Amino acid sequence: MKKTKYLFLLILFCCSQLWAQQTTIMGVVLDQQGLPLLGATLTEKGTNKGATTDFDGRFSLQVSDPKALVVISFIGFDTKEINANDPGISQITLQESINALNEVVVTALGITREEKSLGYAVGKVDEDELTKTVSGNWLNSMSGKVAGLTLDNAGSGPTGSLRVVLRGEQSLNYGSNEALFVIDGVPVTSGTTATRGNSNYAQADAPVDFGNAASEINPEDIESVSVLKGPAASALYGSRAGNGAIIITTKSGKKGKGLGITLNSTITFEKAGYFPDFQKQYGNGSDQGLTPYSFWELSEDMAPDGVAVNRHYSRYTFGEEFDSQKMRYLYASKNWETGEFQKLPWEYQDDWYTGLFKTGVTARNSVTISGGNGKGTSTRFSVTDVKNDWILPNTGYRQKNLALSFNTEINDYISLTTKVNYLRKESNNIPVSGYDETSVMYDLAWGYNVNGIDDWKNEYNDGRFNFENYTAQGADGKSLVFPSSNSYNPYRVLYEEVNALERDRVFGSIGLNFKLYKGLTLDLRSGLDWSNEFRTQKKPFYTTGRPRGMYREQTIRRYEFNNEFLLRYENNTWADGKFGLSTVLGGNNRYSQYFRDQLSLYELGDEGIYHTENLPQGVFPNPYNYRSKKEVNSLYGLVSLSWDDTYFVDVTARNDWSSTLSPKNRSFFYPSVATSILLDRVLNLKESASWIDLLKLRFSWANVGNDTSPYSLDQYYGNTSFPGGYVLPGTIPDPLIKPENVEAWETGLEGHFFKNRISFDLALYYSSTTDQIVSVDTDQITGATGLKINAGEIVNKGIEVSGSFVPIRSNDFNWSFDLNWSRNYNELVSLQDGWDPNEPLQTDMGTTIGGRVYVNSYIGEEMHVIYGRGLQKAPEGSTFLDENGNQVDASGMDLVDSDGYPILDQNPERRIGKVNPDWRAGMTQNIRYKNLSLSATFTGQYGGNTFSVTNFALSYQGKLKNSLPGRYDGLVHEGVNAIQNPDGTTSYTKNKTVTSDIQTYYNSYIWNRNNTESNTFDTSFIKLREVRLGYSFPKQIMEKAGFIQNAEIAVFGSNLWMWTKFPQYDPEGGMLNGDAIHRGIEAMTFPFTRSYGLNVKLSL
Amino acid sequence: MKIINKIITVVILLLTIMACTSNFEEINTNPNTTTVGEIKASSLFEPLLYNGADYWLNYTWFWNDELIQFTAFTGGTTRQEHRYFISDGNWQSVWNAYSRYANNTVHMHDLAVKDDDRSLEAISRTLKVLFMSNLTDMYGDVPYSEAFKILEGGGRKPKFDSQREVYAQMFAELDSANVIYLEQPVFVKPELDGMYNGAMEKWQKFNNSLYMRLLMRVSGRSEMNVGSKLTEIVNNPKVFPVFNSNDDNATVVYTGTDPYRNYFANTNEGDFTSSGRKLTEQLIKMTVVTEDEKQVYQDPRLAIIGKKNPSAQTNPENKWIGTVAGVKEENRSDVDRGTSWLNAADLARPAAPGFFMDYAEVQFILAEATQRGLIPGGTSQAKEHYTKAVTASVDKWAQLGQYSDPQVTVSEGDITTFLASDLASWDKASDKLQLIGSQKYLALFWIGMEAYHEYRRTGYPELTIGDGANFNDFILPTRFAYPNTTMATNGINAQEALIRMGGENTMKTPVWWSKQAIEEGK
Repeated sequence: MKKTKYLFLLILFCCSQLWAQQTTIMGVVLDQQGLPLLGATLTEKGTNKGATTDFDGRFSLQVSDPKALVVISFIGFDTKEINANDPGISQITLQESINALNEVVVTALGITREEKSLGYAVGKVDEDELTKTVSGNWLNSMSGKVAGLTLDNAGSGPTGSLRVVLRGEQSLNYGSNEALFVIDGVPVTSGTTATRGNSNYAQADAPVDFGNAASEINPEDIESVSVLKGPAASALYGSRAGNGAIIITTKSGKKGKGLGITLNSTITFEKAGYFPDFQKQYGNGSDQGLTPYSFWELSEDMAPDGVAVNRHYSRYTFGEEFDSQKMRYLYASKNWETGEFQKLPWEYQDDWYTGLFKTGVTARNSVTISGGNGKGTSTRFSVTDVKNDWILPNTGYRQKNLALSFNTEINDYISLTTKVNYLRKESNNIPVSGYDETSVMYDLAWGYNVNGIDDWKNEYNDGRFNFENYTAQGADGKSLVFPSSNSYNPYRVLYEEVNALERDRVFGSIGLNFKLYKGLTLDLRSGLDWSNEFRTQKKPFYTTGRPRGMYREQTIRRYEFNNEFLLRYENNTWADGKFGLSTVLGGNNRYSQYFRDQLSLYELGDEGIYHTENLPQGVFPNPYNYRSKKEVNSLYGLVSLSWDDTYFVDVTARNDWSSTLSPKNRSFFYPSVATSILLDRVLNLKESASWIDLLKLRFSWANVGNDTSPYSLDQYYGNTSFPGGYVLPGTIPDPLIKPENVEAWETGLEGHFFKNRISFDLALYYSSTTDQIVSVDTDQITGATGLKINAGEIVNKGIEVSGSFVPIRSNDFNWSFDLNWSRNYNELVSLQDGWDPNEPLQTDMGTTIGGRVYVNSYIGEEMHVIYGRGLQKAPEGSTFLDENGNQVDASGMDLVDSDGYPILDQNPERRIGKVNPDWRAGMTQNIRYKNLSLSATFTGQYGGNTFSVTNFALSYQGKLKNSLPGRYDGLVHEGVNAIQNPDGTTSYTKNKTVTSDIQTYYNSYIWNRNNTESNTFDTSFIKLREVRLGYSFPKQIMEKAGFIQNAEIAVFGSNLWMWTKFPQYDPEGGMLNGDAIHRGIEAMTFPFTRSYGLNVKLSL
Repeated sequence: MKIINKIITVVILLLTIMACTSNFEEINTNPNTTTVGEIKASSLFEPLLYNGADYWLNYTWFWNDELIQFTAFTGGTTRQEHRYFISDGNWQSVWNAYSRYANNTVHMHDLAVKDDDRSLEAISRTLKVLFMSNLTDMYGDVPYSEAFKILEGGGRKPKFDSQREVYAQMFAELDSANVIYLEQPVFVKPELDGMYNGAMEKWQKFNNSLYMRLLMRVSGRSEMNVGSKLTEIVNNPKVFPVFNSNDDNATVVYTGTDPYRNYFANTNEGDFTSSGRKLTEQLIKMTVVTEDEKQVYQDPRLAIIGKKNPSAQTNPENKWIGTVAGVKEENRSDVDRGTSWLNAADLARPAAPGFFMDYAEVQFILAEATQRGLIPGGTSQAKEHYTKAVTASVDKWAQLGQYSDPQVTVSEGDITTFLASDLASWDKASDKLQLIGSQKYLALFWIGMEAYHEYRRTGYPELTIGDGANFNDFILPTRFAYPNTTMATNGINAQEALIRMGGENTMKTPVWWSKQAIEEGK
């Protein structure tokens, strides 16, 4: 082992300069409980020599003078100073901070600040919270941990994207509401990357979710995540961070001398859960069981009993009651080898829907080598391999990450920081989700509860899905399981309608730090994010919308290069150290390019061959190419002032020059101010109320500008498939468009009490986005569907509360928990001049479920409200007489027609419910007993509504328990009948009519997709998001094991439990529309999954 | 501190670079397409013609056939236009489609004037009227005089012209186009013209035939003096040439080779018709003679347009069975059983043609005009025109019989037999105008929205509204409503138009030229 260590050292540090011999001190840093502290920093005071402790808490520090003062610090602990020659240096015990005065946090531009000095809220998520339970997307672990952070998903598969929104949607451009991701100071692209601009509903060419780039970072490499929620926090990042920013700092090598190797293996098992509530009493059929089911039409010769039968089947399950004594011809009745048929028992098949799903397995293995020479040179290298087999056959992905961090001090004045990441993601198949035959969820929903899943499996595996059976439509004893012109088979979909991906991505930065003068430093940094992606999509013959198959190739290249400088000056020596000054002057040049080449073949020449030449005669491939460039230059500055560690003021200013705006408007300036006051010091509470550790009041105001996308100033023709043929554009731009403007206020109060056992943070904010660069609707009769102009205003108001509590803190036993709660109110204040306020602004979600679900916003009201049809109600003030002749109020009761059916609205104008929840909350519990730790995270929200496609699809076919009441004797719908009186008035009687046909009742009225109201559900929920039980092996055992320094083992689970009124899968699930994820409509997501995992971490 | 000086130099350099914007113009130059105005008029022609025809085909299939009961989507519940389940998204897309194409014709016109391309100048006017007439016929009053001005920085709130004013302007436009056609301009790139191959005399005939179509549309309004204009056209064939035979038809020819492929070229039979859209009882009733429950005779066009359900189980007697438009949802699957459907083999071929207007329609117009005395000639002339009209229509379809499944051949004798049959006989018909109306309805099959427009003008044929057509209170839509965007962005002008039309923004307010509006004195 030793030899290897030296070898590594040799390789890694051969180029670094060796320094003259100095005194070396060695020792260990422990906490009060005697547990080693990993990552504590030791520095020789007055120099930049430093070291950090390893997993054992051990360090080795070279000091220039044996009497030098060594400063030992660690986040959350009181800083200690000891002389190097003090014998106590070999075992240093740090006291846990009783106040949060020393908490530091990474803010904009990577500047580390003490939290107390900040005038705005910053959310923090530590590394271990992210790596605890990772199965798919690490961003999931952020859920419930930061007040004001929203994650939207579309339940769209193994690489399913998440949309991160902070403090509500601010822009009328739905796509520009996501937070900015910054990794080690370099902004990266985070957006979802789907294949097409279609929605998940009834689109044979529905988008495939290839995942968002931000989620591809290896969570093991993350050191900390800061969430800059408001514009004040993110003002220095400029226009892109108007929606807040997520600042990710990755790990560096350890500063101390030595070499550490960490092995981390996680295996996660994922299972589809929370299945719909299937009814198991009635089988397929659509005539209430009057005619016996027969999948086959058999002549006398074909039938084993010589009795000819007619074909009688349906995918609806309003058929006969199950009874294993009844014998029926099912799909499985045919012996395909002999061609003979036999009757089978009429039984519910348990696996008809659920059988398709298997246990998904994600194996994540990483090796990290970290080392330093103790003289300012350090490095960290990690290799990670993730292999995902998802819950559906033939789906999943593989990802490899390499991360290298190298820091060195070139001399006393110059140091170098390098971070390089490479990742490769490959997938043979990312499944299509949504409500369409090309999605297996649709196939399942429309399947038969009398056919086992094997019927489909065998049909595909035995090659029965062929032209002969496809066209026979049941004739001559030939058929597919689902005989239709839009035939499908989930196994065929999964194995042949495949969407493959290969993505290579490199991102990282190189930075130089110059120490120019006392307190004056200069940072120069260049950062790159480059990715190249190749995707293919295949559809075989006889698929929906593509009877002759389809093949598509896409190449997407992204490039972004940032050059940056930062000049900093700090001086805390004035006025006896009472006055603190810190100033920053910086500049950035950003250049980005996007490139997309696409070739689609909407018909194939030969079946089963997928390349761009395989076309039938007279058909040409369909190309689509797009490229764009953008450059933004920026200059910015920050001045931070403090007085007596009590009063803090930050002032920032930034000016951007954007290539996307006209020369007149391309330069724009915006400032921010933030202050914080430590009330405990101002009021001298230390004496009068010593239980108060810290009480901080903060206030900030910020203004952030935002530019637009490339080529937004001129009018360009649309290309057509006709050679040299053009059409006019839909949107007319305004060449003098101005940058948009976000203005935000925030105030907050933060307190820490009883030696930090109770802390809270309260934030109130208000932000208003004006001059939005939007394509405002115009009537096409004017010559365009939209005008790109500055218009409209959205206001977000909100409150965020978080608290943390430590009820028990002792050597062996620790119990702490965090809570957070947030509420955002999002209002459409105005639209373009002259917009009729009685008309709604429709949120373009790519679909209205065929004119059935509208998400609208009205001026002056909260945004995003679902409108549609519901059951007609008796008007206010209507009454009926009950049996006893008493007048009973009938207002709001359902109207029922003479056949006993309720009556649907004609027009989709009923207000059903708002999409956004009233509030969201999260709670994390941590319990530690000796070496055993248990943590659990709960998340929840209250209010909000979503229309569920899964619900109507399964329910109106009679597949769920919600269509059992009244089979087949009918039922009496609770409501009133309206009677038109000759004098023009209407009177009401209580409905007593039994529905004439229970199938019609459910299928056409109650669960039909036209009934927006009944298929829209409250999305309130409580989820047990994560649970983790960990054990770290005691030192003594480790010492016996020899080379292993530290070992930790943990079991974890996610989404183990959920309470919700939302009936189908995930109440947080939404819908994919092109590259955007929308809430408000659930367009048949994949099942919500539970996962269980095991994690082993070894340090050598 | 030398190093400080160096650093200061570097920072000043950086500051300069950061504030440098000299290459921004180049960066913001779009490499993907062409800037508006930098093309010739002819570059707009092909997309207008073919994509325009695509819309015609799509709308005839999706809207016209369902509204007017040629077909009904009873094979499922996803589409319910036959029950008048029509929403704002639909109003929006139809409004936008016609407006967009009209807008492109206006732009083509402007470019043609700039290029001094007289042929495209005239053609763009003809095409503009083709698109705009459909817009006004679907919605009633629409902006015309102030429409499409936004490109030149004009109004975002164009005033709505009354439908009468719209028609007057369309007539003026056609007149002015005809004047250009009379100059015999030359189509510079005839190979672009998938309809007439650059034959300008045929474009002129189309222009004037379209004129006749629109004159007939407003013939119920005496103030439009339709008779005198029609007489002028009929009497001056040199000045106003119109369609003389099926060879003149405004038919867009698709070669079957990309991109010149029929809108339905890549649609399978199921999506096109068999799993949803079925022929209706109404259509079968008008094309099949039944005696003693036996189908004894049928319109020779029926087997080209439609296809019997081949299932021996659901259609054991191999009959023409029609479904019921507007059926109650609970009876949907019963009436759908064994029904016939559209003949995808010929209608959805890659090389299947798209029809804007036929010679038959011109003859039907003349038949009706003579029968009604709008032009001289009397009933005997009317019969002659009627015979020509029906013959032309059957002829047109007969040419497509070779592609249908199964193949159909129609002889001259078959046409004579048909003209003598109960279905089409002039002499047996008691109400000649009803006969003309009904046969015209059949002849307008697959020609855009014409059958729907004509039904609202004439009331023929008499349609039965299904007892499940509850989404518009059992009223066949009299128009499409103005979309939300129109109401939201130009509400005051739209409201004014609705007041003028005497109704609300619903599908129950009649348009000005319609029979209902005239009868109600609106």
